[in-house]
Parts: sequence; C-alpha cells; structure tokens
Amino acid sequence: MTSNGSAVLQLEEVRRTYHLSRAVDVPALRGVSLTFVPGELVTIVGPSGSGKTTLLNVSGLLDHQDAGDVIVDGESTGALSDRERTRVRREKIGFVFQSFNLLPHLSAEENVAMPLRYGDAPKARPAAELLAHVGLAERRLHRPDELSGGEQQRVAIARALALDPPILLCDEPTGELDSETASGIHDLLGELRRAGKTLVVVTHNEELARIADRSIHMRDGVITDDGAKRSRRSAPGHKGSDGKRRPAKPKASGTAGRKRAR
Amino acid sequence: MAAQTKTKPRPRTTRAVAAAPGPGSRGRRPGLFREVGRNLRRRKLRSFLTLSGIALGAFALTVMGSLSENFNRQIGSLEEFLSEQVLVRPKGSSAFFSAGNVPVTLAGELERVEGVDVVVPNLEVTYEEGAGESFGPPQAINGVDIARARRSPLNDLELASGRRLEPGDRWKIVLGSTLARVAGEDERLGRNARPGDRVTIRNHEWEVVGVGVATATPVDGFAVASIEDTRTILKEADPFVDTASIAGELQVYPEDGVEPNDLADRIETVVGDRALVFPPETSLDQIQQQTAIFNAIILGSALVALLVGGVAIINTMVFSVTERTREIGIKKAIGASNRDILREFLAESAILSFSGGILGGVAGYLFTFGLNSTTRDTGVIAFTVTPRLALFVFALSIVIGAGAGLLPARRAARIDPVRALRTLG
Repeated sequence: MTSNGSAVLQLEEVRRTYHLSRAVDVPALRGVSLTFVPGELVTIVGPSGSGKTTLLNVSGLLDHQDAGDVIVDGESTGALSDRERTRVRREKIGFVFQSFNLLPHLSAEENVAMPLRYGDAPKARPAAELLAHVGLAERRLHRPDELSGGEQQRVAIARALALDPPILLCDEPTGELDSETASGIHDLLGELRRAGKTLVVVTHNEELARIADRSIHMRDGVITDDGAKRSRRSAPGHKGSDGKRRPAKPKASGTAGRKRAR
Repeated sequence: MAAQTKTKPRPRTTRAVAAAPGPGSRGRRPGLFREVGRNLRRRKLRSFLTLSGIALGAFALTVMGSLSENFNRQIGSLEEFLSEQVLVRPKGSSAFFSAGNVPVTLAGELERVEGVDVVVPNLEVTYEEGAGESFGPPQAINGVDIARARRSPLNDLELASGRRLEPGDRWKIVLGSTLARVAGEDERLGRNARPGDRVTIRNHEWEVVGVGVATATPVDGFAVASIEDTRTILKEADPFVDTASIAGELQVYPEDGVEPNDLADRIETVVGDRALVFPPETSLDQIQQQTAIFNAIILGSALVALLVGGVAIINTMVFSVTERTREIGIKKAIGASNRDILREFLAESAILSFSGGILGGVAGYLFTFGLNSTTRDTGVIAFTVTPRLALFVFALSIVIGAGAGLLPARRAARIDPVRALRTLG
C-alpha cells in the first residue's frame, strides 16, 4: 500500500457493502479514496443513505471495510487484528456523535476520564482541565441529564480529546442542537483545528460547511466532489489531485474559523 | 433544522460544589471495580435478587456440607479405630454394626492363629434401655475384657480426669464426655459426673472412675465397662440368652510386624464358616463407600441449589448485556477492547457471586451454630463447619458465578460497536 507522507488519515479504494439478506446487498462505499492532512477541518455532506456515516465508521476503525485500506498516521490497518485496531482507534481517533453518547450514570468529569481507563497517552490531559477548556469547569460533577444539549456535546468533545488523538471524527455533532448552541460548537471545532487536530465532520449544517477547509460531497457511496479547491485554499501541506504539495498559507491568527468564514 | 434539546441546565448540585480537582490530577478516573459497583447499584433490586440466588445456594451448601463434614469426622475416628484390628462378627454384620453375637470360645481358637497378639471380646449395650434411633452411633456401654484390652482403642481413651479400668473392676465405669454430662443431669448433680460419683445406669449403680476428654466424635458418647457387667445387663434384658458364652464381636490385634490384612486371611480359614471376618481394608472400604454415597446425596442436592443460583446470574447478565448494548458500543468507540468489556462483565458476575457466597456462607454458619447450640444439650452435634468447607463454598460460588458470567460476557465483548451505537440508549 502507498501512503501520503503528510497524511494523518488516508482511505484507499475503500469498499463496504451491507448484506441485509441473501438477496439484498447494499453497497455503502464504492471504492472511496480520500486523504486528510493535519490541521484540516473537512465536512462530509450528502443525502441520507449516501454512505457518510459508514465512511466515518470505517475511517475510525469501528467498522471493517470489505476491500481497500485505511491508513491511520502512516499505519496500514487493513491487516491488523481487532486488538491492534482497538489500539490504533484509542490512540489516534476521537469520536463525537450526534446524540452525544455520554454514559448517563457518570458525571461529566467521569465521562471525560473514561477513555483513560482503557489506555493512556503521554499528552493525555486531566479531565477537569479538558472540561475547563470546553467551558464546563463549573459543571464537571453534573450528570448528563443535568446538562443542556450543548453542554453534553462539549463534554463529548472533551472526552474525545482525553487521550489527545490527532484525528476527531464527528457524526453530525450539531444535529440535535439549536443554531445558537451549534455556533458555539462550531467555534470549539475551529479552535481544535487551529490546535492541529484533523477534524472530519459529517454534517447537514451549511454554516459548518462554509467554515471548513474542505467539503466532500457523497452520493450513493461515491465521492462526487472531494472539495479539493477549498483544500488548496486553506489546508497547509495538502496534496491536490495532481499530487503536488500545496504551499502552506499563514493562518488568520486569532480569528476563529467561524468568523473567518463570515 | 435541528431542534433545541429538552434538557435544560440545572443549578449546580452540592456535589458539584463540594469537590475540586487536585493539581495535576487526571480526574475521577473510573476504575474497573468502581464502575462495576456502580453498575450493580444502578439496578439494586435485580442485583439483590441475583445475589440472593447465589446466597441461597451457598447457604444450602454450607449447611449440607457441614452435615457431611460432621459425618466424615465421626467416620474418621471410626477409621482410626478399625485400621489396626481384624473384626470377627456374626454373619450378617457389616463394618458398621454387629448383627447378633459370636461364641466367645472363638477367642481361644483365634489366639492360636499365627501372628495374633491378643483377642478382645467386646459386648456392647445401649446406654439407656430401649434407646431408639439416633443420629450417628448410639450412646453405648462397651463391655470389654479388661485383662485383654491393653490394645483396644477404647482403653486408650484420653482421660480428662480419673483412671482407666483395671482387671477385676466391677460396676465401675469410664464415661465419655457427653455421657458424663448426661449422667450428671440424670443424677441431678447440677454438674457433669466425675470420678468418685455414683450413678445409676441401666438399673445398676456404678462408680465413675474416669471421664474422657471431649473430642466431638462418637467416642464422647461411649462408656467403657467390664464385659461381665454388660453381660449381666444383657441377661436382664433377655434371660434366655447364655450371655456367659457370647460376645458382640471379637477384636483381633496382630503381633508387631504382622500385616493385619494378611492376618485376616489366616483367620478366615479358621473361623470363616462360623463368623464374618473384616480385615481393616474391607472395613474401611465399606465405610468409605457408605460415606461417599452419603456425601454425594448431601452435597449433590446443595450443589443443585448453587447451580440454580448460577443460572440466575446467567439470566441477569444476559439481560444486562442486552440492556447495555449501546453503552458497550460507546465504550468500544472511546477505546475499550473486547477484553476490557469481557473483564467488566466477568467482574460484575464474579462480584455478585462472591458477595452471595460470603452472605450465604456466613448465614449457613450462623444457622448451623444455632442448631448445634439447641441440640448440644441432647449430646448431638450434627454440623461441623470446617475451614476447608468454608473455602470450598466461597471458591465454588466464585467459580460458578464467573463461569455463569462467561457466556454473557463473551457475548458482550463480541458486540459490533456500529450496531451497538445504532440501538436505542
């Protein structure tokens, strides 16, 4: 397998088909190839059933592709055992879900600290510090049912950052939030991008698509537009479809991605 | 457009105010057992009922096992008693009981067999006239030929006070510890009988010359007297029996260096047509067979109870896995491996079974202690909770519980995280 030296996440000819019954096969991904570089905020948009969530699950090693390879931080995962895939997922990838997926019986702080139970990382940060980072220092001992939707999503983002992974995969992170709360989450995602995280976000939110470095369009399991044009504008070091490295552009310092988009 | 979620921020709870993170702390990192404890507390009633299933099994195993242990202990003392002697008993007898009498003249014949050291005639009568069935060997007076009884284990009875019988002693008796208490009560002494007391047993007045130490074995319910005295008692009970010429059994002791089982073969050739000969190995075999059957019945029934507790754990854990499918998916998404999930569910079932085992074991111990206390006055100790039994109950509870949890735990570990995350939380 080949890999792009600067890519933090790479999909090569990935195929995934769901076998619903003996007679019915639903191809969710039909030979998808994508490359994501560090510090890139990429949105994936498309109609329902286009394969967005499957793409996210396969990229995050939650699901296994039928063909092709997923290369995470230079490591080909196609032939890895379940245990190794879990290790890569734990160390390299954080998940943020539409419905937050917090454990209801744990406090915000305990939810954030949960990944530390399964692994450790040199740059792992204390849960309380992460909660302070997302603006929830005062609510660290509250349980999810004592938090608003926006607060729950912030807790979920803090949890995804617990082991300091370079990649964050977000499945409609603002899908259950009102527009004002969603804006706050967008700001937070923009901050993470500036901190060097690679964010791949499945979304229907137009505002988020606007602030993204790249917006990938999917339909029927194929990439109809990989957003290369936008990528050339803002993703430092990214290789375009011609394989040439794009020059890094200076970031608009002190400006949140959301403001920049406006 | 997405709608505002229903949940609204609530005022901070006192919990939130009370605790502050320590500097450099990684936060409240939920350890395995903390997480498991919390999971069990989340479903208090279900956890309690499951724990009760195992506790009932452990209770039954403790009670029945202590019955079995007590039986084994009593049999153990009998084995010691039988290991060095060849028993000659009437036909129809077993290693446990003598079925009638043998002619005492056989003793003379047996003493001429090569390798025989001494033959001790023994005639046993019950301590109380018309004594019925009892749990374990009945309380009895063992009449022995004192002059010959130098090697009889009964003569070796360890004394707490007084002396052993001597040749020529008549209507003198050595009481086991239980019988000393019974005699003291019968005579209204306000204490146990002791050497020097005169007591009435089987309508005869006896002088107590010795009292045995308490051993919690059948020996405590035995008394030793002269065979002439027990013959007299038997004659009074049945005037038509020629008691002077009979013995209940003959205990044959080999000379030093003679193998008792080999000696039994030689004895067989001499008296085999008139009596049954029990070499030590036959006696011990019979006893061990009986013991094994008894133990199998007693422990088997208790094990069934514990296995039912195990089934309750399987049921609970399967339900728990189904109920927590989404939670498993979340944990896998944030980095839990299959092994982490397996460990979590196994720990849950192990804690349930361990707690149940402790609870049931302690309850069983208290129950047997209470029963022993109420029957101690009648000289019956039916239950013995030994350390090995307690260990066995706890270990088996954990093994059954963890074993029962293995299937659901493996099922949980193999759950596909993508499907799990699609289920309703």
